[in-house]
Amino acid sequence: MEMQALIAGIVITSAVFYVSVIGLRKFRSFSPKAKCGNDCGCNGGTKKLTS
Amino acid sequence: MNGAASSQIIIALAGNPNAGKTTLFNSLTGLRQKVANYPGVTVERKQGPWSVGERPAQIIDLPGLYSLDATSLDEQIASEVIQGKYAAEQKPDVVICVVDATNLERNLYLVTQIRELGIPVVIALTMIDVFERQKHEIDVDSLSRQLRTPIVAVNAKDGRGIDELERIVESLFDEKPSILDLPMPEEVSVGDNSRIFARYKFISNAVQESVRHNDQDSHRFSEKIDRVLTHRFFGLVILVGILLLVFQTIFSWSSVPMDLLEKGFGAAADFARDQLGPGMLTDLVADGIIAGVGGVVVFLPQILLLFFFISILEDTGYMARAAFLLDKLMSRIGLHGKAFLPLFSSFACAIPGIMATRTIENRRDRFATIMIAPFMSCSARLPVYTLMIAALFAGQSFFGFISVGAVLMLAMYALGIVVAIVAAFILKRTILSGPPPPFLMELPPYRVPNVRTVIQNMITRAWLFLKRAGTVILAISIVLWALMYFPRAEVSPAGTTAVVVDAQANTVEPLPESEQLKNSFAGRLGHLIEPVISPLGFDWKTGVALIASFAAREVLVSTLSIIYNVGKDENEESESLISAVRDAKREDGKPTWTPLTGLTLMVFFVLAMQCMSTLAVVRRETNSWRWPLFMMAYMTALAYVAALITYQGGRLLGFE
Repeated sequence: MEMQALIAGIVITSAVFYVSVIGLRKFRSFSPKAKCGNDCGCNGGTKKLTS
Repeated sequence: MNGAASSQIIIALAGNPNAGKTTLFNSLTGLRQKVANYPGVTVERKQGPWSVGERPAQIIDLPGLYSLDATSLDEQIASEVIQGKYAAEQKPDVVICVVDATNLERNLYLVTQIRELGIPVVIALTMIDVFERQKHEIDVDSLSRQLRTPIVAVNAKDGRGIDELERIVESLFDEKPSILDLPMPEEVSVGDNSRIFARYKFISNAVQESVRHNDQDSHRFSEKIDRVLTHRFFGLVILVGILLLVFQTIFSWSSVPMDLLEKGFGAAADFARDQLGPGMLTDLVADGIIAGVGGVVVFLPQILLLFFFISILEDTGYMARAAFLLDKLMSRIGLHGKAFLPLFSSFACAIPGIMATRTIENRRDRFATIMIAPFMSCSARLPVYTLMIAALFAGQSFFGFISVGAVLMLAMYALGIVVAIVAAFILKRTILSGPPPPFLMELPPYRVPNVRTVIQNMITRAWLFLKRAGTVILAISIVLWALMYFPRAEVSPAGTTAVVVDAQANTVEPLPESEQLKNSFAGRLGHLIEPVISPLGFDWKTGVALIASFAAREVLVSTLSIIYNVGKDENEESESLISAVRDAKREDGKPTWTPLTGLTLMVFFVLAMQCMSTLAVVRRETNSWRWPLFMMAYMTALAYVAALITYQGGRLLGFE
């Protein structure tokens, strides 16, 4: 494999990995969590909005 | 004092909304949180370090609240933190009450409540310069004696009073806190306001002893200006005029730096080609990375100018007048008046806008506001609008001086607002029905814009834009390039429909790049969805860009930039994305982009829900899957139908 194709392959693989990680993070932020942040707008225990 | 016992000294910044807490917070900590001249900017807890004498401390910038008897979610958090009832937060050792001198009595109500708790309090008196300009005089020492609380007049912009504030805070660490013991009425029944009256009576006496007013003339002048700017007809005319002027200026001022940036990225791509020689990496760098990221970054001057004008309008206090105008309209459709700020914030980005809905007490009003916030044209849509306007409407004007581009831009912003109002009207009468709550809106005083605040807001937005371009957009550009580049057509001596082979010379002619693109993964996907989008006037290349833009709106621009670079055959010479859009042809030889298809795309972008981050924050704020899915479905359907009506209606009227 020529050098250009090899480097391009590494760059593309890294980008795919990065996009996957970002996508996974987004997906996890969609999913219900055991505990919410201090300011997330819900009551972490009951998962019910406090207002 | 708990701070002495624990390692961390906690100082809370508390006060009414728009009293200047975040400006003081930034000045004390050296951080750069967003500041604006309207209430409710801080809805999240923010913390930063501050050295008090030799002692390290942490300052918490709390959301604004009018009293400890909180009604909305953000006020509730602030109130609980101050009272030490918030589980995740240590009770503050000292509270710096930020008090707006121009609204003394209302601001001091919270101070008396906190003083009754026995927490050490120092008052940081802000807006003293505005107060004095309004021809009021205040005897700070007298007021301090009356309230039995230390007071420091501060000006975070020039550092006035900051050292004294630090000295007083330090002295409070070592003093035994006193409790403000007001003569309160005996046992009160529910709904009895006698305690509130008692506090206001105490405050009123203290203020009368310490403040003298000589402001009749200037007050009248300010009222006269307000009468015009908030007039139900002239106010709206002025608002439209100001916005037109802003958009026209953005277009005319940004053209030179945009051209320079475009030339710069073009030169960078040529340089990469020269240095690297022909090959896959060269194509990736020139057509994927530089074209993809550069296609978005060239719009930086417009983003900077937009936030320059927004910051000025905010800082002068004009935005609050615009809010007042639209508030009447919003209350008529049943939306809470407090919805204006979240909706206004959404013009920058829907995410802080949706988070700002926490200031709305009623859950149904809050959710209705969340559901319509993404209709506000955020800064990510700006590159899309600008690209279409620059490519298809450049140089056109009404009456010779109002540019079509500025009018179209204003129309896109207005379309978002109108659709949001209609959507809110329907939501408030169906799934989120409920009576509109009363709302009292505060008009902040007029101020000369603070240069530092304006520049800071511009830098913050520019940094966010560039960071996004250098990370997410870069990565997506590379992936999209790969999807448009692969698979490369196989060389086959037998020949296939996709390969051109010169059998006699036994050499293989590479497929034209446009054919390679058509056979790529992205090309196949674009062709797959073409039947769905062709009624909107879009070809398969636009389809690829539309799919990609569901990750983030500005990705449409980078995708088009890559697609027109990757698919560019040797005889095509479009230098910039704008000229590539103008030159793009369909397979039948007709132009891909006409003013009608450009307008259709803009309408689609005003209404479509194309932002994963916004959906994530809606999921978090509503604590439910139902709402983000509903938002995605109804906005996308609405965008499709509106784009269909625009395109097909335009064709019926004789446009192509």
